[in-house]
Amino acid sequence: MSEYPASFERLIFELEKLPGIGPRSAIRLAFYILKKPVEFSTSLAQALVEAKSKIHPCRNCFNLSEGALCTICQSSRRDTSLLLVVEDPSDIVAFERTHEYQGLYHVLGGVLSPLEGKGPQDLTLNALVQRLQNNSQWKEVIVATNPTVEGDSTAFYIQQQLKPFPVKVTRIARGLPSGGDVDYADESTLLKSLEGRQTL
Amino acid sequence: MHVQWLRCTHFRNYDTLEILFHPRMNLFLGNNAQGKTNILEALYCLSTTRSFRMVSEDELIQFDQTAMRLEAQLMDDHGSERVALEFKKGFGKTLYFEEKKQKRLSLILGKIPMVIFSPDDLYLVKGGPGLRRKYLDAVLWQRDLSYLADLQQYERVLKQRNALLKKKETFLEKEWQVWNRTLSQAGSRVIQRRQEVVQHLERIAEHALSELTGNQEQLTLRYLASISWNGSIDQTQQLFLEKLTQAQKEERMRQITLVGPHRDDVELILNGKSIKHFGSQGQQRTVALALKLAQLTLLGEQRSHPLVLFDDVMAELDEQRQAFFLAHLQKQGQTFLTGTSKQDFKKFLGDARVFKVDAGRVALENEGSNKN
Repeated sequence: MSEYPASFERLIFELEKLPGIGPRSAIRLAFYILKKPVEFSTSLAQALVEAKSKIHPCRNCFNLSEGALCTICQSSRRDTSLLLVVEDPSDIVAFERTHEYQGLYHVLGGVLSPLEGKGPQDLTLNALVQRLQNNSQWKEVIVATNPTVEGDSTAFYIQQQLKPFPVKVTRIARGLPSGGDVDYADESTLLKSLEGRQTL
Repeated sequence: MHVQWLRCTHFRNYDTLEILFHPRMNLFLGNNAQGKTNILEALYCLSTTRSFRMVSEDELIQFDQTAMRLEAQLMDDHGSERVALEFKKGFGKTLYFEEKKQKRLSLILGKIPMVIFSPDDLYLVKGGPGLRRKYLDAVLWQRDLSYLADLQQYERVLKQRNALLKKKETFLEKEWQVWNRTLSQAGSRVIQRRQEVVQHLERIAEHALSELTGNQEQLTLRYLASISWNGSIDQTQQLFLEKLTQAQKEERMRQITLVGPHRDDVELILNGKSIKHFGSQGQQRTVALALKLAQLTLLGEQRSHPLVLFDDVMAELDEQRQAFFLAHLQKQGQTFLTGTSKQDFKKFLGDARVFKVDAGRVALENEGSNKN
């Protein structure tokens, strides 16, 4: 006994599976889609299918990619002695926006978290070790996992794994955001920024 | 710091409630189950974003309602600030400063320092180790918020590690090393801080106890740690890791972390004997009071005087101790007391603003002196 026609119900049902979308938002989105001209739905549906069929993890770094290698790994202008390890592809976008980092990346696909059933075998850690084995050009591996209990633990795991290699393994600093106010920073951030202070 | 006024909307049995507090002493009188403790709970809830009762938080919201709001005007030497906490069923809590929505609830922590005295304090002495750990933790984070970050970090690692212990697959040694390291790192910091504060508390509580009893008492607080603090974080962490290795077999069998500050306790020794096992009920109660007084003193040393909440405690005290508390509270911050009978508060009545609490209505009965 549904209140809406079957096809409409199905649309709501599918939309509701998306993260952050509850029943009410799903209904609102479904009505929006219905009101729009048919081109909108066709285009949306095509975009969904196309993205899903075309995008694969990069063979090298597991970044999102349409080819075997992502655009960063393909580029000849990158510094191939630097490797920055991140949790997710979206972190790459964040670092790229700085226009400062010129090295390569490695996407872990998450962090160690037994609560979510994630162990080392669920991350791309073996591939990371493989990348260091295959090439001796690496000088430094920068671990840029989030400053959480899980991110720190994963960073330590990586450090242990990379011990046999002659590379410098570093961890990104934590501290105050720029443009921020010392007044408003929470205690643990302030503490960390004190620990990581630098000579002027 | 003191609270100028409090406004409750759909909180517990109060539809709407507005109280203008006396900056020093406030007394709430009424029969049982009229809503006296709810007023204290509202203050506590604003201070910590939680209830001090062990119940489902939904019960903070008035029956038949879906949301509640607590609002208060805080006043200190620097000026006044309006804080509000909203709680909607199914949506959680939101914090406001001056009507402005705040990003994190934890921003309120430390703004309204307080110490509650309640008849349940007896369990601090009589009850399980969890209550004593909670007491230490409360003293610590109210003094220094960075402790809360350490503690939360430790609890998070503990959860992760326990999840790992419950996994059926084969154990990856390298994965264990990671979680053992993170646990021992966060845990050693917790042990360090607790160890320090226990020494501090011991001295103050012993003094408070002697004042309470009028005798020279010898009170010892011994922090019983599964990993004893030995002077430095690094060394303690090393010891922690060794203990974890020793416990490995049993931990895997029982699927739970058996070593660490989450299992520690504080032993209370009065004149050479364990109070928990050999103390009379009266002694236990007095030591519990002394511990709470020590908390109050310790907090007052560092910040402005914390609020003092006295839930139904006065009636249990004899006249000598009531006099002691009256004298003691004169030196403390804004105080809130509840009780059933005026008789129990003879010594207080002159100075306090008295409210009569009856079936969810709060009426001003006595203005209270403006000496302060």
